[in-house]
Amino acid sequence: MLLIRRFSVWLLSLFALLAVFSVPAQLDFSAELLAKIQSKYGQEAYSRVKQWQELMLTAKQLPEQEKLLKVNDFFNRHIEFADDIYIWDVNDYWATPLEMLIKGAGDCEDYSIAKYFTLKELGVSEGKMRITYVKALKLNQAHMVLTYFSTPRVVPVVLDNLIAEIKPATQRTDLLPVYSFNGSGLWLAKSRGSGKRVGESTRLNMWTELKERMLNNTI
Amino acid sequence: MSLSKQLLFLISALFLIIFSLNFALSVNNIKGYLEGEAKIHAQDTATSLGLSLSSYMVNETDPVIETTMNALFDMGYYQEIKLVNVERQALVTLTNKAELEGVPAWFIALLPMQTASAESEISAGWSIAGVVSVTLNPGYAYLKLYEQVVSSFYYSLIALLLSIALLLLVLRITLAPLKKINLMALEIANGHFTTINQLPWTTEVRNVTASMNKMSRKVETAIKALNTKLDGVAKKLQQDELTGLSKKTVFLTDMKQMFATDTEAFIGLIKIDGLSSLTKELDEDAIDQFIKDFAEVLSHLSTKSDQGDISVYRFFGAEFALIIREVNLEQVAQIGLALSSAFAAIGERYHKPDIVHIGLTPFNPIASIESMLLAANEAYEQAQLIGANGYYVRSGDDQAKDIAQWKELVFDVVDQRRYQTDFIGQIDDLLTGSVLMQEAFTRVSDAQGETVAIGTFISIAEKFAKIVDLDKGVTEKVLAYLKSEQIEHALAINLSTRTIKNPDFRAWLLMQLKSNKAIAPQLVFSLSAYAVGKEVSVYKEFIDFVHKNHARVMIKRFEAQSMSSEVLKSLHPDFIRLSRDMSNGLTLDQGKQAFVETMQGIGELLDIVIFAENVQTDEDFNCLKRIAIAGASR
Repeated sequence: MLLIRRFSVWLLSLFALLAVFSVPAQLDFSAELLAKIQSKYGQEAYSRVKQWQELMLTAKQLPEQEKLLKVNDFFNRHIEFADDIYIWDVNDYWATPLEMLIKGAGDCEDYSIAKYFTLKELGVSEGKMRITYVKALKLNQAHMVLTYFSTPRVVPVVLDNLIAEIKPATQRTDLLPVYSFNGSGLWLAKSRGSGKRVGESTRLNMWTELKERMLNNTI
Repeated sequence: MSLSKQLLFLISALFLIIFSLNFALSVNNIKGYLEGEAKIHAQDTATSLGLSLSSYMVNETDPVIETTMNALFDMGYYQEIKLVNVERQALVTLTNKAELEGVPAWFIALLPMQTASAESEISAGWSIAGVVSVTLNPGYAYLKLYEQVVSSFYYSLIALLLSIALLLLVLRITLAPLKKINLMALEIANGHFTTINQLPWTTEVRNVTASMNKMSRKVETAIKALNTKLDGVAKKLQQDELTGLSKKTVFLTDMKQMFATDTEAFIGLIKIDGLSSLTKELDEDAIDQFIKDFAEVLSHLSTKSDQGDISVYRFFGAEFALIIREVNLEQVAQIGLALSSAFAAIGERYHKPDIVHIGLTPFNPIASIESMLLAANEAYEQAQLIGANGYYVRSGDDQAKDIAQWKELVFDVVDQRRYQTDFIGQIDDLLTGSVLMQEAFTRVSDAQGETVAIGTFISIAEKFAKIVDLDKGVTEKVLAYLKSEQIEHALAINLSTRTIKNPDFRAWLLMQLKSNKAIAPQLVFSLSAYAVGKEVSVYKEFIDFVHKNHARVMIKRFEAQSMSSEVLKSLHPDFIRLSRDMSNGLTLDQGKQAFVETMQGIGELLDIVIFAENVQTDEDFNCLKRIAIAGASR
């Protein structure tokens, strides 16, 4: 009996070890990468990335509502809204959160993805978040927001870059919901559409890949 | 197993492996493709159905939801479409039985496919209203896969069969020259020096063919050289250098042959009596010229005479001989007269009225060569008595009575089988000393128990057509001896030309050879070189018959003038036994040595075993050993 228990402990330790080495546990940019960002993109870009990293470290223990506020506020404050054509010189480019922070600018899709990703990193369940296609009625254009459901049946709150405040969806009469995806599904579909080899990737793998892409990015 | 079969099996096996791998890979690819497509199909359906339903999901019980789902489901592609609300409670479930018609069960077991399913979340306004999941009916994908596999299998099979057929054709074309080369090698071994004129296109085979052609030509040249040498040696051994007439050895051979075959003939002896007195008056060159003139008369006679077949020989110095065949007494007298006048004319030129005398005597088959020459000499002496350049012809009346007695004896002995067969003339292997061959020898005694001269006996048997029965009887005795005595070496049986031509004997011999297959190779039919040379086509046919029935053939009493190597090549006997004259005094005679060496060379090239007969001295025996003759009798 003792033997079996010892074996089980040993096995679990092994799995834990494997997990540590196979998937980055948290986003921790190396000093080298940060130095590179600083030298290449300037102090502001460096400062944004550094603050983002600090946010992910410090906000982990906060209640979910506060996490939403911090993250929404961080991106709405630090990132300027701009179309892809101005930032990336293409009509539609899905930037990683790191790319967006370095540029200090992004479109609605980049905001939503960055917020989704950061909250996920902070421990918010994917099941509570959806990226929703909406129509911005006043602007009369296609728009994207992040919605948060504390429970499945409740009215979600909307994390939007058009307004600073997080409001319940029912109060957002300026927006008309069209369709929602969970983040992984959206990322998967988008990657497939852009010609990336998307085969048997699981949702977990998608985010892992995104993280790796950011950590190893040749910026 | 032939090279073509080995190559065919090997390459076919390789083809099979390649086609099988290709087939397996293509099936796997099709399967992967169909699975991928099914996944996309399922996801697309789930997403679009989700979008369609989102506007109705505010009221979960709205019948439009189920109607929309039914409309999609009834297209038949789906095994299940299920809608659950946000609490995962099923709102609508549509299921089809997974029926797989037209696809055999073993196929599904062998190539299991993943069932494609996908789901999509449905939102109603800002809220999440539920999840729709779609599972495709695998039957459609299975049917497609099965159809693809079947058609792919048949195409692969057809391609494989076509490849093998093409391979067979290429192999046949490529390897056909090897068969030709083999035939060519066999032809060369049989003495036919053929070449392949159309060289094959495969480099290696072409090189081999070219080499074989070169070898064939070289061997042919070697044979030709040996043949030329043989002709030269034969001339030296057989022809008188000064006159070009045949020597006495040729006379003796011809005489022996006449004893063996029943021939009407006269023997003539001519001596230039005036030569001794001429030598005192003329120098050597003039004497040579005189003899040449003299010989010219005889040669002219042998070529121009319309009376019988005349052979002329110079024994030595002033002594000449004639054999005149197929003539009567009257015609011989005319020849004598013609010669007498011609010689008288030569005499006159040299102022010698009496220079020659001619004695003629009929050929007697029951006499010996010596007694015949003695009789011719007596006739010559009679001619001397007649006068200058005289001739005398003896009559043959005194022979008739003897022949009648001989005939009676021959018929009696052959019919009653009162003859004995001994085995003599043992030929030993010169290297090992083991016995190679013995010859069946017939011994006959007369009423008084005295041994009869067998040459005369055979000659009379030939004359009265009893020889066939005798040869048959001897052959039977040899067969019986072979069966009873368990000997290992070969036994030679002498056959006469008459026997060989006899159709009854041939039919009988065929039966004997067929019923004695095991011992047939030990039977060697011995044929006289003289007889073979006279009727080559008859003997060739016989030799082929013997070979076809696995017995063997020896040409005996082979001399320099017997036949050319071309004829030997066409006859292809198994053995040649050189005449005893060719080995006697071999050590001292360069000409004979050259002849035996040449024959041994020809034998090696044509695959004929050469024997020597009745070797007298150890010196000659050792000389034969040095030349590497296979065997000899002492």
